[in-house]
Amino acid sequence: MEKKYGKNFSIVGLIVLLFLGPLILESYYLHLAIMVFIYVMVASSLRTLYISGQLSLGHAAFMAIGAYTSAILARSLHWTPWCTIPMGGLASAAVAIGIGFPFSRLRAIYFSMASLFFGIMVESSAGLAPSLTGGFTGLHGIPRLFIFTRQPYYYFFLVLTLLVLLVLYRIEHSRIGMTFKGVSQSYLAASSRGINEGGIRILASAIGSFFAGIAGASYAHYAGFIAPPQFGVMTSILLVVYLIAGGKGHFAGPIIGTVILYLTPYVMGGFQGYAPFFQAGVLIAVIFLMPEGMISLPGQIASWLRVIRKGRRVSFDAS
Amino acid sequence: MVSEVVGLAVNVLMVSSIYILVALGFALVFSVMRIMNFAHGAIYMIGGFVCYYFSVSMNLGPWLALPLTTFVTGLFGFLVEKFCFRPFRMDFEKATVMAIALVIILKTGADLTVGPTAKGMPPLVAGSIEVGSIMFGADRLVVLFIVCILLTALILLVRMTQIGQAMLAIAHDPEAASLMGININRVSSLVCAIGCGLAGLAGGLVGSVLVLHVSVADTILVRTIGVIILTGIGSIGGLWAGGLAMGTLDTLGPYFLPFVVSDPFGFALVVLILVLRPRGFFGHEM
Repeated sequence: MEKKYGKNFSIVGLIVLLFLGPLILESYYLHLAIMVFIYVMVASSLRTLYISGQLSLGHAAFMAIGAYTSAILARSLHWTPWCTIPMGGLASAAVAIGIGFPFSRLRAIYFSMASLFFGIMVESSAGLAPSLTGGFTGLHGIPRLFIFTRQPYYYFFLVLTLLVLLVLYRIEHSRIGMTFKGVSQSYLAASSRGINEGGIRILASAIGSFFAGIAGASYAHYAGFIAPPQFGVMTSILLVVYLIAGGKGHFAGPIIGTVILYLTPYVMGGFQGYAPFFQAGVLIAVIFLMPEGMISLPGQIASWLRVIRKGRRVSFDAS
Repeated sequence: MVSEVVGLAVNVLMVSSIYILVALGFALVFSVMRIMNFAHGAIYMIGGFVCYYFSVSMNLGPWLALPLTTFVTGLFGFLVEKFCFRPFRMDFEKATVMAIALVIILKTGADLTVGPTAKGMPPLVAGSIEVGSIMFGADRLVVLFIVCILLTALILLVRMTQIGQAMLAIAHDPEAASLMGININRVSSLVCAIGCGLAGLAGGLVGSVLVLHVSVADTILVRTIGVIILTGIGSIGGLWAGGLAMGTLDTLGPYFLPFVVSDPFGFALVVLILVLRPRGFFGHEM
């Protein structure tokens, strides 16, 4: 019990620190923090799909659907962003349910491939209605949530991220979350216990897509400009990389992965051009040294220390 | 009318043959190592620039540059297999992260050295062929010819030689294959070298017909995976059909429909085929 309280205490401390952030950080760092919040939301929502056994390679498409729905509603109908952001999330979830029926037949790599091509299809279909979506050059002049300064945005995204993470955490540790994991581990065993496998997978992708849509929509009203390449193949694959490199087996995995991997190029401020090399180096180090992702680093360090002290190799990975 | 059809057919065949050449490397690596090499498109792009370097900057001419490019990218593939992919064989997720790290390195490298400007190479063969009222460059036919010879050679390698049979055996069942005394490491190295070499060569060949740009990496990667899906994941012998379908879709789509409609339409068709027939045309359920 003591250990658990200690963990809770450190999480509360971290949140308090995050709330105090704008007092010391400059505007540029606030922007980075906001982008990290957005990608943390999307990567964590991707994990909801992942625990139900669906590794989606097109998750950024749901960001795009949310962003475009919200932006178009706010821009053409002049609705307030506070109203259109949830509608963006709902639109994402509706699309996820719509494609979920055919996609729930596909498992493992076939699902990944189908979602990859769905993502590409969504990206390229922005050109279908240029008057609405702005075509491939992007959509300008999206109404913003707040005027000018970044501090209200920072607090908005901080609160939103904490809410989303709380909901996702509760879902994962509820009965539904257990069912997701059951379907992922053995769909035969799950369906023999009376679980509707296809329905559960559609539910998981609807939940994941809803929060990705919310994140995308709020991004649109923060940046004021969206373009299809922002939600392209590489974004989708990078989200999967954040999830796997951070540690797919733990709720905090995608959060840590996103924070570290998103910020690494910016840490090398003076060498902007060479910064992606650093990111790639971190990725390579992670998969070679930390089989369970960055989340396993403390355990790994303990195991390395044991090796150094006792002079023999202690097996770390449980598999 | 006839001349138009001939011109279109040459384009379809050339684009399809390039797709088949790139997809063959991707499919070989996938079936032998069960790795989705997302870096394949980036290697294709690098191949184009390496070929440009040899042929234009070092002034060696295209006919010396193409084999050199194949060798360089093949060597790169060999090293990549040895140091990057070998520890993660059969591990889809870790191999994906590794491949993305490679994509980041290759793309950033290309960005830093070549920059955002598009490059074009002199054609392999000067002159053009006239059919009726339409004209097309002779180099397109040369590209088609080279790719056809390479594909025949590769199919013979896979079907007729012992090492080719070893590749098929590993693709079928790695454990049984290694029990029969097949050295999986050696075959994987060879397969990765061949795959990357072919991708680099394809990049070099296309460089003289189309333009070279950093962004072709993503485009060709998407097309390659599309070809693999249409053919059926795990099938090598049927790649010609998937490649031809994808090439036709890509060439004829913009001809009959506006570009903005044809692109999503083609991708939707791929998704539809995946949903209706996950095995593709020739694949088998895994």
